[in-house]
Amino acid sequence: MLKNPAIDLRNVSAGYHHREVLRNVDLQIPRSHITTIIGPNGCGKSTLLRTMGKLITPTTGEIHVNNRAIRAMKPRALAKNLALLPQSPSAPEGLTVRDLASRGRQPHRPWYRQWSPEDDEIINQALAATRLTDLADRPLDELSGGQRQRAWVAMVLTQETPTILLDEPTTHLDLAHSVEVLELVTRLCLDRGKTIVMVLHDLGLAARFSHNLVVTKEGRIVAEGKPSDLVNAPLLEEVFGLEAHVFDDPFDALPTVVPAGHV
Amino acid sequence: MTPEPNSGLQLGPIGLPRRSTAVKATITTLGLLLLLTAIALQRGEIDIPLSRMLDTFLGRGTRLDHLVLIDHRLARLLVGAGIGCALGIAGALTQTIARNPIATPDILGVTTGASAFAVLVLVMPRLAESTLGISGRAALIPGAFVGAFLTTALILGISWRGGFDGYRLILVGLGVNALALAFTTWLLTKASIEEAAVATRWLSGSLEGVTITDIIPLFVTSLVIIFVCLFISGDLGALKLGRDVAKTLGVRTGRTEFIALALAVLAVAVTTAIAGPIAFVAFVAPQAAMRVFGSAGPPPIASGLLGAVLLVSADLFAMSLPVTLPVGVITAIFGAPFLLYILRHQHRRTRA
Repeated sequence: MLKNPAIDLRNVSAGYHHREVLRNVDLQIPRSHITTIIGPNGCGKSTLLRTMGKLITPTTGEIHVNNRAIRAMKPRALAKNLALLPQSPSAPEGLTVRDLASRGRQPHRPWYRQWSPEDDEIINQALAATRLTDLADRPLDELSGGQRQRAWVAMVLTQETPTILLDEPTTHLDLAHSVEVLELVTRLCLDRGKTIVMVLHDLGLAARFSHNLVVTKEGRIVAEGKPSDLVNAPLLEEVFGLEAHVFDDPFDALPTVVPAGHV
Repeated sequence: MTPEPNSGLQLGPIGLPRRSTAVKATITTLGLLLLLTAIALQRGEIDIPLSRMLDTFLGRGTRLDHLVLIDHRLARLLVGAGIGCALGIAGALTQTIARNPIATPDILGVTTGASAFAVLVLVMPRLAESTLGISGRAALIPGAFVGAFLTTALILGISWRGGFDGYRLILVGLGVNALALAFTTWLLTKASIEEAAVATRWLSGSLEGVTITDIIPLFVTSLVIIFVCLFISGDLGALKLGRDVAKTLGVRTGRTEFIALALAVLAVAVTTAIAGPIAFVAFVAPQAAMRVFGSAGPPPIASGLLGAVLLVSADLFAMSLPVTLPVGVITAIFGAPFLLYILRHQHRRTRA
């Protein structure tokens, strides 16, 4: 049991249209760490993340964010405590990077104040942190995939929440751009103390950019711990049905996954 | 590309973002409205010089000048502007919540539904009397409201699958539109010749014969819509990023969508009751406003301004023709090609 977790799930079950995807999940997310949820397709990774962000209402159990039950929290109050970036979000044509970043101020704004100098300051900081200052007035559709994803992260940053959830932030990105986004995420955690929870597909990237891994299979959590303790050949075989070699890379001594790939 | 200077305006607790494109577009649009007002007030059979116009507005004019200027030209101008404004905002709201330019009340058949029930009230005054307690022109607004509401509910009921799909929406809209048209036609065949003539005239969407008293319900509606729009504008902006993102930004998406739809239904009901169905203003104005005001997604208030400009210009154009045409015909002639353009553009985007 963690003391004072950022997010606390107790016996949570959830799903869509009476089809249960998560079954009796207990999970504590540590503060100011990067926790990554991994698992095979359709195992409930996204469902778990979306349930934490209240996009899905659990059928049983209780979720606490910053020691408050999210069931009883108003949408705006939750949005000030926790930000969630869904998978492959889409923006209207012509929306500029700055416009998008400024949307994150929404939960902090009363209806009559759609602009303030403080907002501008926070937005400029978020653009600087995501290295988008020079592209601030460019429409999103003109940017590369990696730049666009950083712009969405900028929006989540202006929300100024201690906890950030990211659903597959590297989908559709090539390796270089994926690493660029994950480096940004790491800086947010290390420099600003943000709690990060994300879903990743790539085991190698997950092992490299996480403090803590949560492995899910068929709607349950089957393992949890540091990448170096957790990622090994038997686990991959058991959870993913993947035959692979796992060894520590010679540079950072982090677990590296190489599929055996018999032909 | 030189970055647009980003700044804002602060008045006590009120804060507004300021974009140079939007400021320029607002000034231009307001200027255009002023110009259209000047044209609308001076054009017509009777020539009224400026001095007599001023006298009339100050209440010192002749009865004839008052009749021509206030009861006729000014009424028609204000009603046109009010209807254009309400329809422009209605279109912007529905396009925003459906995230689809085709999702406007005129294209999806909500306007036709409102008309069908208004015709019902016109040709069966006894039915209106017994259910609503009123009949004649006074019953038109509630009648149109019931029609607009029922059609919207029908379209949503059939096409909603946890979200709007563009093509499903337009197909369902086509079906509902056909249904409402068939109902209207049936009503017209049942009506007496006099009633049918009145209804048919009204069905073409015309500002002919509007009176200064029409302004009151129209302006009350427009003011309510504008005020509520200001209240939900931040939430609507977040909805442009999709329902999920809006929710994570703390927006009560269901509530915001419901309010936006209710405003659109109200706008369609009131405007249709006053002038009959006027096609394509709700569809074209927000799309034009997006391009002119340099905004991503349709901006509601700006769409209202452009809707007013569009409808007043269309009406002035209609009046300047040698044959009198109702303004609904003019908006249809100019609006239909724009619909084809948007459909073509959308198709290419989904394939790309």
